[in-house]
Amino acid sequence: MDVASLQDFLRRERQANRAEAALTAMLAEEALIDRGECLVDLAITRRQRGAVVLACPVNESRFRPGTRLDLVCGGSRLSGVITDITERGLLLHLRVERSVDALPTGPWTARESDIDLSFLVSQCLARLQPGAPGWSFFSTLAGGEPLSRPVATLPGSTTAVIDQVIADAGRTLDSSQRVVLDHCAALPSVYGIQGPPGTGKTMVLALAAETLARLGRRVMVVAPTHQAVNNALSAIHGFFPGRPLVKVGDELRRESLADAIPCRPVREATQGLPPRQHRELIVGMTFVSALHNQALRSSGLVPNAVLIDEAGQLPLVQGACAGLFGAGVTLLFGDDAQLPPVFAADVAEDPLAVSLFQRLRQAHPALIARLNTTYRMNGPLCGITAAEFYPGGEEPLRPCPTVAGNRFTLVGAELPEGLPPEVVSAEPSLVWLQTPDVHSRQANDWEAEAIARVLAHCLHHGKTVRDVAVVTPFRKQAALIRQRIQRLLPADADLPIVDTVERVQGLTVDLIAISLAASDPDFVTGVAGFLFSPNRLNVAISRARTKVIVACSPMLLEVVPADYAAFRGRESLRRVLEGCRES
Amino acid sequence: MDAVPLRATPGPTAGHHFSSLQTCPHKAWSDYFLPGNLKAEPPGFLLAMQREGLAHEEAICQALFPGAVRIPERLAGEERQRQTIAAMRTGAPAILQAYLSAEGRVGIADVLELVGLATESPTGFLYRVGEFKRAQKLMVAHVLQAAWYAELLGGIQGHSITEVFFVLGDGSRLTVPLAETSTIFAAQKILLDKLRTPAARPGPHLCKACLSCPWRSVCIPELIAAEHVSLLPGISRVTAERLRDDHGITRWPQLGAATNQQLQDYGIAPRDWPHLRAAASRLYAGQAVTRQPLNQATLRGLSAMSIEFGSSPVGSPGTPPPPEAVWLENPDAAPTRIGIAADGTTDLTPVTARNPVVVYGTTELAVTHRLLRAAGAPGPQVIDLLALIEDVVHAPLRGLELGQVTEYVRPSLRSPADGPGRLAAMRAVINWLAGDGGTAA
Repeated sequence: MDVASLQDFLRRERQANRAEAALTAMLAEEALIDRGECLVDLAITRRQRGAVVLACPVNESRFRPGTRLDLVCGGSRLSGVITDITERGLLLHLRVERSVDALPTGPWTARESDIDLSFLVSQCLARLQPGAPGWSFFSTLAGGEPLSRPVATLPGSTTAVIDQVIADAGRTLDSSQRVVLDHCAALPSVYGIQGPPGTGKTMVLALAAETLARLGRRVMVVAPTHQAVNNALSAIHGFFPGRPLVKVGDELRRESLADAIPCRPVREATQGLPPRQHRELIVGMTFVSALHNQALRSSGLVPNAVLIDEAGQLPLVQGACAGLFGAGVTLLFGDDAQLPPVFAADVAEDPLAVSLFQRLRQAHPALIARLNTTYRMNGPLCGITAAEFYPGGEEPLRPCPTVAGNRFTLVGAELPEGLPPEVVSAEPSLVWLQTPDVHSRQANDWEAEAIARVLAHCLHHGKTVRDVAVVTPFRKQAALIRQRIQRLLPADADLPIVDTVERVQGLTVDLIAISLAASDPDFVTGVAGFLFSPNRLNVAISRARTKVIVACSPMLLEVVPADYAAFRGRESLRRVLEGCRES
Repeated sequence: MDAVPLRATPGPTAGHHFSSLQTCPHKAWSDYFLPGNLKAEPPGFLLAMQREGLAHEEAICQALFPGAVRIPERLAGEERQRQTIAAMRTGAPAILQAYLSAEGRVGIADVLELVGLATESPTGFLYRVGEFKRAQKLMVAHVLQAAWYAELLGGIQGHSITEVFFVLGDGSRLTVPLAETSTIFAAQKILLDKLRTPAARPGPHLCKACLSCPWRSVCIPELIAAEHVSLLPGISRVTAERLRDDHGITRWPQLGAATNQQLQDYGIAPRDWPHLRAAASRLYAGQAVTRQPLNQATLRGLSAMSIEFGSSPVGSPGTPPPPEAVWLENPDAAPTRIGIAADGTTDLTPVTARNPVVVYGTTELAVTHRLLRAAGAPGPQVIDLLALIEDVVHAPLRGLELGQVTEYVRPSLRSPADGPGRLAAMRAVINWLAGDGGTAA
């Protein structure tokens, strides 16, 4: 890996994105609706200063919260950001320059705003030169020796700071969390912390940020999305309410950010703080903002330590520039066994189409430590996840004793009609609902009906919409399942989350139902890489505390994918499902 | 199909049969029984990929196995086998293009790499199979192919082989345990054995892979003549078999004319009815059948553009020919020819005034991007018509070359040879995509 190859990758990626956009522009509205790139029945629900909030009653779009959209309907044009998605519609927060009194109901063609980051990233890459700021971090990623590694023994004063931080947070750490925190406090130049589901990655990040701040470091927290930045800063605030925090960014993107944390432009980041506290301030922003705001250098906020959350979703081509922030310590928090960044199809197989976290693993596997105790999944679910998605490591992933014995329970002894009792019983924790069809593509009636009945049964027997959720690879299937659940519930009832796996990352529920939907062998072959992705299966299964139901046709296991990685994913699914059958 | 002469006996099973079977069982059957002279010319991109693959293989051989014994490809099979075994008996560190055969089975491994001495082996040494792939990701067909060579090698050296290795396009070496694919390998060998009789002919089925299949000039006319149900997008092989076996449906007009009740009985979901009927009516009208509906107004607004290439420099046959001119269509006038200077500079003002423009194929696309970059002007959106067709068109085309598409769209158009000819052909294809008639299937 060198700077020229990254520049070349960036150019090819930009070209591939433009080619994809050009082909999409040739599609009819009907096809765009099918692809989730059209919004229908859009209406104003609220007005704020300089902004309106719009919603559509049925969300079948492919966009995720945080996406900036350009909307076109006839001669009308709007642009804005998706701030939230609820099961009864898509909510868009739009800032518009003119007053919006009435809107055509649509359909509105929606395209992700063409904010081309390639120029910015290219400029940043061009600054990576031997001896210049950022070179050390980059050369470590390229395989060079890091300037400093985590050390096992810390000075007593540092250990005392860590102990105090843990005590102030009111937490007890497990051994892997403590080791990681000690390593972070040792001020390594580069260090990766892999956080499998439910292992307390965000808490460790908060503790690490606070520890470094108390050790006199100026700390910056960055992440690929506003949501991740908000979560990280809110967690720090939750544990250490006295720590001055600021998010650099637009007030409109505060979303889930704790109310006490201000959102400000970079030049006003220290507003209201006495100068002596400037050094204590922890600043958060998106990674792209941080690249934009290298003016930080002149604002006195240049960080000594950068914590990158969700580094498993940050494309390498961007992440390679992290050294330009000027920090001597760069800590990557993430999990490359969960969802990776998305790349255009034409460059997706390129060796550089990886995340920053994955690249660190390729270059220096010994610089990554894994948190190994999950506080979410029960024993059987953790066992499956550990065996399939987190093999190896010094210590296997294991459940915390307090959750290992947890089992799914409902109020009452009734069973759902027409379905096997094990779908709602305490044992087994993972159930395979075998779909009796071989010609479904993106929607599967049998699975939709079965899953709707299981969920409705749960909601009628003590569970709330926050306790159960459905994951499916296809938006059409998500819409079908939502429709079927709605039929079984009162008209005004809240609905559980039914969505694709991208949407549920970060979610924790008691029961997850997974509907793989596809069973037609030709179709499955065409989408095998996506359908059999172990990362996606890992995220889907590991949302659950106590129960996972996988609905899919046995035909899936007969299909031979063309791609060997997809074949290995299929084998992973087979082992998971055969485990169900054996149990 | 009766007119197509079959080979009296099937050829031996070779490594490529595994990849054919994965793509389409009819392709694997055709590999066994159809004479080689019925193969269509490989598409340009495939030839280019093959050339690059050979160059990659050569580079790998020189870098990793400089002292290897190479088995000459021009010799007869028996002699190649004899030389391979002789090289194995001498304990050669590596053997390139190793020829391995047994009754009705043959394989040519890119390399056999010496593992060590084995006194119990009839050859005295043990080898492992290695394959060179230009791709950066491994395919299941690659592994099955290597497993096939490993099985043949195991028979010769009297010792079963548990793993094979690959050198991929990025130079990385990947070792794959054969146990992972043993079940599929066994199943596919049985399927291939079954296909070695003329009566086991699966029959063609239109799919994306047809566009680059060597047997397309045999299968596509058959599909059209039979009005095969697979001419409707979304009818997969398993659905076609179910329609045939359970309902006697084999022709697309039968589905196009079916009532709602009948479609329901055939197991086709109501959400698919409109698309199926629209496709059938387009087939009747000779219009483009697409997997996704296209925006006809946007399509009609495209400006066709083509690149005129010169000749490769004398003495450098491998060097790509230089672009000499840009041809741009005009709505109501003859096309404009814009010359390109020897240093690659050109005045692209007429092109940048259009948006979007459409070119045909990745070569023209890459050259257009390069010219626009060199011109320094904000370029128009450039669309590759070939990529659009490959992505969305579901039609019995005989290939993706412009001539092959126009042959289907408007047979009266001669195969386009010059700039204006290519523009006329592209316009015909654009109009066909936008809803004008072509050749009824």
